Amino acid sequence: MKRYIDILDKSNVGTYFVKETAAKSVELFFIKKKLDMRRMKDDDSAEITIYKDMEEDGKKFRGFATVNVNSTMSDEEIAEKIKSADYAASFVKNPFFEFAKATKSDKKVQESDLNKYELSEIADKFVEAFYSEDKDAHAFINSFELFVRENEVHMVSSEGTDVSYVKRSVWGEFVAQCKEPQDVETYKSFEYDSLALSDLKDLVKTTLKMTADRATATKMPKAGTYDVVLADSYVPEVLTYYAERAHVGYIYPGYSDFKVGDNVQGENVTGDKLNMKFGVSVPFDYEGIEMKERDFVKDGVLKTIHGNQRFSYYLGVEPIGTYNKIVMPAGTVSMADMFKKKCLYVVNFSDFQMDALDGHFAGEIRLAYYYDGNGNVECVTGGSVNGSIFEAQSELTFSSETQKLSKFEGPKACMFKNVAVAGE
Amino acid sequence: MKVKESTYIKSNKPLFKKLVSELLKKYEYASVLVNDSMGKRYSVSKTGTNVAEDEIYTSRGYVVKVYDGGCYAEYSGNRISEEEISKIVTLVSEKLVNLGQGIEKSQYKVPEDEEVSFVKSTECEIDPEAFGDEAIVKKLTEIHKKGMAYDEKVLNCGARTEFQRYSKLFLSKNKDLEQNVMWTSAAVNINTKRGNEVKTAYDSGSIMGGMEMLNKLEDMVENTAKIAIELLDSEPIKPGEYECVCTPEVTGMIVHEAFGHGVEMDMFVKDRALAQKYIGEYVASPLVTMHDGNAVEQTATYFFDDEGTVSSDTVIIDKGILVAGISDLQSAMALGTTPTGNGRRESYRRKAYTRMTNTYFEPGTDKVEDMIASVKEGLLLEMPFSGMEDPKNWGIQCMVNYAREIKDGKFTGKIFSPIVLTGYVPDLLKSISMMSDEKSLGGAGFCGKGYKEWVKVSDGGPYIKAKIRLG
Repeated sequence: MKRYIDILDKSNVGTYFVKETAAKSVELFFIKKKLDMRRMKDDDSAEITIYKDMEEDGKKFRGFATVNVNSTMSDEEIAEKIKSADYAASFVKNPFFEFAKATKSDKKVQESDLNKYELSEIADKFVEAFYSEDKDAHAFINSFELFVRENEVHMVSSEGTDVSYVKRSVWGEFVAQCKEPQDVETYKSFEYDSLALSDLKDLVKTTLKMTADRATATKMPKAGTYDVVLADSYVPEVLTYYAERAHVGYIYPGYSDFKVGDNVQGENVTGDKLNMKFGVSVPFDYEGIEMKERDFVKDGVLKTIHGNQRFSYYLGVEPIGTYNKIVMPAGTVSMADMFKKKCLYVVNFSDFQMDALDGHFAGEIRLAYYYDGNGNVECVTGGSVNGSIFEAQSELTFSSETQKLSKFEGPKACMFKNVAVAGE
Repeated sequence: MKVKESTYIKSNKPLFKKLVSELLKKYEYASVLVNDSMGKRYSVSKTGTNVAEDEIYTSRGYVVKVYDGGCYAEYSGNRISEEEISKIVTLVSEKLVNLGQGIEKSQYKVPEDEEVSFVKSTECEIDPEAFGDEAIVKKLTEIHKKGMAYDEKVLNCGARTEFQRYSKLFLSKNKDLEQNVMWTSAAVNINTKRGNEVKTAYDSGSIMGGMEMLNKLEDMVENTAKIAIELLDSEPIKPGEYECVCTPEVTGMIVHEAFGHGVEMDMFVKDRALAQKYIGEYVASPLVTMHDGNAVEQTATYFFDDEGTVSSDTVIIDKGILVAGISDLQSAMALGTTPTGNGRRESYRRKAYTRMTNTYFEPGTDKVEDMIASVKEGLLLEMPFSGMEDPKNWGIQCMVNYAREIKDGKFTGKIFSPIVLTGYVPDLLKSISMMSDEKSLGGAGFCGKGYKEWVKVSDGGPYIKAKIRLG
């Protein structure tokens, strides 16, 4: 970092922001139980943003441009890059904005039991836990990729910001397979920032069971409308709609009309009212703004608008940074009670997407359990869910069971009323 | 003009040669792939103007690969010097190859390392760096303003372009390959709003070349704005099977997502692809011939892949019959096949996987107007949004922005949005009954393997007529 700052100071560019990342990882790639590739990574890079203030016809502008550099570059190359950013920034005539208040802090090492071990030791522990549940020849692990990462981020600005943090995390993805009576597979990914070995074991176990169930599913659901239950990562995926619509980047261009105090679920909410907090996944966001837990939506009412310093200034709101973690309390209805009524519980999509712009959530069904309301359950596969959050949000039901993911803590499942399902 | 060479690669090549040579003293096989890339993304919209390099476009580093007598290991880094060479060799022998001790490893042979050496570069008409940031921002600003002025219903018009100039060096005992490549893509994106619902329409293009691409972008604005406004009156579609005509962009998505991922042969190695069992069989209408590779000049055209295999053109489906898949080096060794030059990495920081390049259907003989006229009751599918592969089961999951209703061979003016394509891939491909006489390819986006490993690809083909289940 010091080298970049020295070159910036010599370049006389005035205002700058530097984000330097040193990344290390240990990566293991398996086919079935065999290790197919071992990898290590150790490198660094930095983004340097140069700001340029201009005035034209009495109107103030603040332009900026970003270049990417790394420690292998010569001083001359870095200086040339900085010069090119300074030049480019002079053509970027964005309306003037003020920077967020500068933050200074000692290096923060994210508290985690992962910090006690070498990256390779963490990898060994996760591999052992992962394969401890792969003991059934019927439904088994087809392939597995594990990434143990350590990122050290240092951000410095000409305006006085100087913050840094170190964060370790474990990310992985795997495919479970079951060959009889049909040859099927299930894809799952996970991310933990602690030594969550028992959570991983549970995930492997439930995924293997889900895969065995899918192998027996032959029928498509009948086309029509259903009360659809989504669980696990699909719950936060739908809730990203609210986080995105509450972001200044959505509000400033008019994609979202969200205002603090709005009933984000509409006026006639007959289901659960949303209660969400923004959680902290890293100590500082990408502009060096300190992150802290905040009320996001309380009893369906929007409490916080979040986002970067530029759009926050334009909208006249406090720049608090961009949040990507949601924390919610448990709901009141157990999943078992949800399944007493007629519903379609979709546990696996080939891909599931929530479009925050048009409000649609959709995906092709890999496996769903159809509960007929009379105590009978049937595995179905194929067809697709095509719902609208605008229509569904007034009648949401959250489960009393909870889950803890790296970017979501809250109910494990959510029921959406009267959702269109394409099928037979 | 030829895309220029990397001075970094040129000046450090002796060090990388020495690194490979030192590693070859310990390992039967060793290679290094060096990457030096620079690219920029420019955008102008209501939210402002952005000019930025980012990690996807701009990076400099290397990946070392060694064979320890049975299995492979890789180290990705970016520091290189005389002193670093011994550090890297020590790290590889003392840490890297010892990862996963006690775990059974896959057993591979040492790869064939045929002697080959070349330096090749692609061409570009207008070098983006010479054209300059000012001219690019000015052009995009004009396009943005044109889109905003089209109609008061336009909420936002975004114009963007991005280019990447990359240089790669691959060294092994017998290979010394260098390539310098440039691609440019551009897109216009227009939003309109109805109540809470924001509708989006876009158009895009891409070339193997430079800022000559910007001239094509301007022509896209008016039609895109018109569609974004039309979408305000769109309705949800009734799920069911429809007779559909697909634009080349939608054909490209079907080619790439529904079928292409299924013939990536690292999926064969893992027993994850149904296609493996259908080699030599009809999987599509006899009208269909499908390619992947360097027979066209598009954003994924290159001279060698990220494992040092010289690129090629692979015929995947020949007149309806599945004849071959595409593969990276390691998968080809596992399967006993010839690598096709499809081993690609997101960057030097990532592992190589089998990845598509430029993937497309050959054109047929029909005229588009005859195809529309032949539809009694059906749809024209336009503007692909997203897709997800399902190699194991050949299930289709593709999203298209909208569909235009056709009755008795004529458009009724009715428009449906959004559209989810579902069903079984061979059913769709076998139902293809007409193909237009011209193809086009586009590569403005990136392709992921599952949910990661983003690489630049292009896809396309002709207009096709098929029966498709929509939801």
